Amino acid sequence: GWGPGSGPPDGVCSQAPELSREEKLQLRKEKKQQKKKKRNEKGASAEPAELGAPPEPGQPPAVAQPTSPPASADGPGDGEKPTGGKSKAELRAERRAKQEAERAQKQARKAELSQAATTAKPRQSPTEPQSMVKRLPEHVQVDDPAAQRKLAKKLERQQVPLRQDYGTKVNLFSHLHQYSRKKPLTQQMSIPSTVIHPAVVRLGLQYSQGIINGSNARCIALLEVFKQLIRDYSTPPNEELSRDLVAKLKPHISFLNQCRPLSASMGNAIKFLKKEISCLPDTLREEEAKEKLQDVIDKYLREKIVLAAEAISRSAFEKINDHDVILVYGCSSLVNRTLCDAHAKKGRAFRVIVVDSRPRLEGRETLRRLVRKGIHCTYVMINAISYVLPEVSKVLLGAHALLANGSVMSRVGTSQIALVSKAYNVPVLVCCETYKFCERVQTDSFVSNELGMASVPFLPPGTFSPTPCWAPGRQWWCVLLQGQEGEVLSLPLILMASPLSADDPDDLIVLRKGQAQLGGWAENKSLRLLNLVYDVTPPDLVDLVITDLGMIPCTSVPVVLRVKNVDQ
Amino acid sequence: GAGAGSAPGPDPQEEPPPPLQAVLVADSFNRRFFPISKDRPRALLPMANVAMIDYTLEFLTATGVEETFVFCCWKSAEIKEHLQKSKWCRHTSPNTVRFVTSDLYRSLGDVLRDVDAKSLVRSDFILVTGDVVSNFNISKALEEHKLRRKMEKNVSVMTMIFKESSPGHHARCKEDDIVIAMDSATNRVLHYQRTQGLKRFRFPMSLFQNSIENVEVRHDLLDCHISICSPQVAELFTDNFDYQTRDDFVRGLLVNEEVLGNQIHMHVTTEEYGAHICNLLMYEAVCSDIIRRWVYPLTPEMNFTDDKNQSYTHSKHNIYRGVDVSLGHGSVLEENVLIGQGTVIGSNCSITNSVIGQNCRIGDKVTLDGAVLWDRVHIADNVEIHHSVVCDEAEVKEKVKLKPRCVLSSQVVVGPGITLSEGTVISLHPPDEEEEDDDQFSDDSGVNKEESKVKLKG
Repeated sequence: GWGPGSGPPDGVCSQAPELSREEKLQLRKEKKQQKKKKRNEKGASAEPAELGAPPEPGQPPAVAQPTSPPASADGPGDGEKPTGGKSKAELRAERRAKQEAERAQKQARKAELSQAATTAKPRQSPTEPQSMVKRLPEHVQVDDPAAQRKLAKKLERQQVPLRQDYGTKVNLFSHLHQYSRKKPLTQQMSIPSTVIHPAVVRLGLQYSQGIINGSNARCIALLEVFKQLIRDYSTPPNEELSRDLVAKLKPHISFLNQCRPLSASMGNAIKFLKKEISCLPDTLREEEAKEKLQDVIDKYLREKIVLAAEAISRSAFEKINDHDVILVYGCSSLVNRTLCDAHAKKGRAFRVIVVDSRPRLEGRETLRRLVRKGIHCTYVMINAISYVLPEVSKVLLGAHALLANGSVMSRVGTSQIALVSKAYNVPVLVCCETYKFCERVQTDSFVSNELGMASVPFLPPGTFSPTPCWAPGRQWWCVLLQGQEGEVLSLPLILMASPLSADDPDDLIVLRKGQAQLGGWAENKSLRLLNLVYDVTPPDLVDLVITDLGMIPCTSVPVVLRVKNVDQ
Repeated sequence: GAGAGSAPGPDPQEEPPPPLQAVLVADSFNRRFFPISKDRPRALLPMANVAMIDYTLEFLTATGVEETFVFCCWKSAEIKEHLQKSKWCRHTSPNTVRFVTSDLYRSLGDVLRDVDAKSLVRSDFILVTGDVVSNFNISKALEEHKLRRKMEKNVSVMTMIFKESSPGHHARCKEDDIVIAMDSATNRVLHYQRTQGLKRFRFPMSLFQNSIENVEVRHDLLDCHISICSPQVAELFTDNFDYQTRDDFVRGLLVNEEVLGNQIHMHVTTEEYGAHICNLLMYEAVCSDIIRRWVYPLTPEMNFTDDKNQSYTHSKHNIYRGVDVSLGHGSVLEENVLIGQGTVIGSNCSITNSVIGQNCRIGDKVTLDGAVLWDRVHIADNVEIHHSVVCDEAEVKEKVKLKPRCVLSSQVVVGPGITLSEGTVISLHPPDEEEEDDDQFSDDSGVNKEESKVKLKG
């Protein structure tokens, strides 16, 4: 049953450049499945050698076939189907011989495998990363010098400065960027910059300093700046607006990406904008085209963010009853709005428990907004959730992005809250606009996260999620120990702040009674700080997602994505 | 009971640092709490079921005071009796309490002149009134004070303790609002002014003309009425027999600074709690702060007075329950509730932000919101009480409604079926005008008394 399977990979490799993005995705998925199938078969039963040693994934079968599996040499009769007309004894003998041969072959292969365990890996690694390298975004390959060089080259071409990493990193997260807030990107830039629009420079700084924070706010700010960018744009002679503008946007996007990795919402917005630009009819005059783009952006802002929030607030209201005790975490503009609406417009009498975590303490902003509206609030830190959960009737969470496998990506700590809520049988509701849905897939272990995502331009720092068997509160350590495998012993002392980002570890330095215990952490060789921004909550911990399309289970994300793709 | 065995015994103490002394003035010399204070001196008013003076003494003891002089005037016998029964007069107490009583004291000035006359203090002492609730640790301020005195002999005579709290904070008493100009380098007080009733502040030009580099003008301070004084303060009161209050003293010293060469300094705390209960609004505010644990470790369940009737269990939402409290079916304690020992609450009551004393009887369907009930109060069915004080042994009959800021003093009986409008004060004592002149010697003099209607009942 190989025929149909080996076809597509062939196609991928030879025709890849011509294929559209969707098709590529599709093909990739198929290929992956096949790989998996192959592996399963390999492990499950002794297959004929031909099947057992399939062509290397990613390698054109044309090459694989002739070299064929190494084991096939000693399997004389393999693959040959017993032809009809033979006697039973003959057949039996043949079968026995075949079995014998297979056994011998298997033994040989095993021996070879164990021998070549070391050689096999290098053999695989050059091929596999070669095919992956293009897809893995630069942000998750900080520890790969080749990828970094490439990125540097690309940035140089775009005349965007490269942001330097800061401090020592925790081994497990060395593939992620770690920037210092005190060294903004603009330090290396001449201002006014030749390529980067001043509004984008300002926006980038606001991102990197955390002045503009939160998925929605960042996306809105981005689109507003792009509107300005388009307003100030004029097509050079001998150029076409739809081509040139996209090219002009690129360095700006890389600049913003250097300031802080783009959020899923921003990624989607950029994708949308690029598509709109390239779809502009050539017949339009420049002024008209610019006008149209501005309108399109305004429409996106209104429909995807403002009206979506209204729709969510309207449907979430059904889930908020009188005398409810609702637990919220961090600061989500959507959740805040929902609660304020339920309180002010619908007059529901409920209580809110605001859970917060260091070092950002975003919950205080939530608290400020809710208390101003007269909502009865309680404020606790995340380590007290198991204390407050028995009285909670619902957990309402915001999201950074919803991934295609139904995982919820959100501020670090969210998955912990979902986990404990599950243990207390408290329903977990996630509010998320559909424009934050993204096609990326992340599963629940850290290791597969490195490979799992391909399509989206960035992997947020430290994306992983705990498996439910882990004790709440210990997940971070578990992750570390699991990921490190054999390196556990050499693991330096790592201080994990449950909530923050791989952006600036200095944020973890807390001033207590005028003393900063972690002040000189950089000098201490065996001390590293980890400051993660996001985590991934597995779909089975989330009971419901409230979106602008209504309430759906989080496993329905692919359906929504498909419908959206058809729409656009 | 007698302290068991472990008497600390006066160890051979190294003499150099003399024991820290404190002067506690257990009288306010004003009538802000009239008519409540007619029955019970202000220092003994229960604050979350514990007398105010106990908080002050606990604060002094915790901060390291070893000898406290308690000056009593009004109802001095009661104060003495209370303290003699308390843990402060047990021989295990690290803080020795001595009483000085006289009916002749008319002001703080009289007290300090007496301190000087009897030469009670040997070195720097802490001056507080008996209505201060604080968890402040004075040692740092004391160190600074001593250092200043050492650097410049006898120039700085007093350090006042302030707590930072922005205007409009609920524990900030409007009557006590001040504006202060200070030298930011040395914390010296340059100008001190009460702002009550003032629309604009005036500062002398000299403030900004002299050689001080940075002058801070602050309006974000709450006067804790705790001051570290040198023995000179008592002498100065003797020399200037017209000084009646601490305000007089501060003002006089600042005006005559050039002449006398004495200075006043200040210490500002941001984290700790300190409040001076000068009227009923402050009483309510501080009460709620104690329940909400702002004065930690002085919380009800700590039972710092070591009184066996004062043991509480603390549970979620700041619900404190004493021993033998019974709560009827369907009654809800929402949050910030303290219930004293032996209190019985009927069914279907809703109680929030309230303090209930010992051995109270509360009927069915009662709503208490922000109520302070003292001991042995009887409340019948269907009563509503909002932000009011009901004193010892008062009785509220059926269907009575108390609007905010009502006061029922001891043994008053109200009802049934009436609604008391806002700010009603009911007492068994007629308002006697001739005592009014007492006011002029208090810190709070010149403040218009809140208009109070006095009804007589039962």
